Amino acid sequence: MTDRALTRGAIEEFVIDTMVKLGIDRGSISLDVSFDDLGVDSLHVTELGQAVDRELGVPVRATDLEETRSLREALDLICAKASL
Amino acid sequence: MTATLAGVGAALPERVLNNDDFAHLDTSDEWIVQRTGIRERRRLADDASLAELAALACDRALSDAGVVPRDIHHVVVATSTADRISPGMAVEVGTRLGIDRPAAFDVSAGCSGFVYALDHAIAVIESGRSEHVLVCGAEALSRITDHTDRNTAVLLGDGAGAVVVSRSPESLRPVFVLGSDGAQIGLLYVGQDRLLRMSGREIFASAVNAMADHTQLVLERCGLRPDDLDLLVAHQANARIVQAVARRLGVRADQVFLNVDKVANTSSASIPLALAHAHDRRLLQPGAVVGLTAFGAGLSWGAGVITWKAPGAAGPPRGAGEAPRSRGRR
Repeated sequence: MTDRALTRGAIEEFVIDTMVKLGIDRGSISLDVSFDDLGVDSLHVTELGQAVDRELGVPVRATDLEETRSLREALDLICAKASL
Repeated sequence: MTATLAGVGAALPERVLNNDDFAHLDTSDEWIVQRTGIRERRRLADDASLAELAALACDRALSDAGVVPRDIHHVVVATSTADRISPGMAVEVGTRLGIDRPAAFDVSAGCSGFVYALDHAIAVIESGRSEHVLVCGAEALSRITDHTDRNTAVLLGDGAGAVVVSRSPESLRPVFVLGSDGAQIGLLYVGQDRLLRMSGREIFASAVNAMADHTQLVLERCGLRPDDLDLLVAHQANARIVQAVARRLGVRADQVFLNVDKVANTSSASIPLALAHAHDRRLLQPGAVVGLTAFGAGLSWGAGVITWKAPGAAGPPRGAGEAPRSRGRR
């Protein structure tokens, strides 16, 4: 995916697909639901950051997402790292 | 000439601690199971000998391999928690087993220690200097645990596992890759206070990257695909790490062994304990291609591919008439 121009929409799609791969039910995913309510814990968030770093080429470190509490907050941070 | 895993053995202390035993640290069984997969761990008594536990695992590995002590000339123990700072625990282990004056030393490479020791054993055999090498991983991590730190205290366990590595004329040649990065030493270490300190989130990410990438590398060097592995035995630090490594490699759940639920993270003992428990569950058939991958303090890592009980491996001397030393339960 690194060859493709990154947009916020593409990153959002990637983030949701990644959470589904990590075992989160796609039907329950909404950007504004809290991680606690989604069943997303700190290790899921770490894996999300790793996937973004490796597969999208956006430089996210293991600790960068630790303060985020929802997918929207994570998405905002990732987009900032991607200068979007 | 190449080498194979010819036998395996394990030994665990009797005392079991379950997750409820950590309730005083303001944690819970649900939290621990969800984030680590750990349900219980073993604890060596304060006055017990780790060398004795290690020797028991080695004795069982020798029995499983059908190798007698007089055929062993090298004993390597991977540990960071030996009974004494010096000499290496391997010396006492060799003597307890009745091995006559072996080359014996310890390896300290954090949780990667067993893979480092195994790589050495393979090199000794491939160089023609020995037919059998005894490799043990043994830890009493309770000796370096901060029992007031809920982030690490629940993760660690005590135990010992051992393998016999034997000459094998026909098997797949083992391929191992080892490495380290001292620039990240502060993420996981045991300092002068003899207590383990770990930055969990960074270690989780680094462990997944290192174990997945180096397993992929050794598979490529062997000309194998992930699907060709009969079993992947990763360092049992945390089930979530092992599952993430499996996802990255694209291996099936049935190719991946997990026993972290029963033993927690036993550092250098983790991989041989897992091999022993996989053997107990009949998941290892002769000739099986096994992937091993570890990561730990250093940072250090090691991954390899080796055959389990390759046909034609050097066994006990024919007509020696000696029964295996013991058949104790693992």
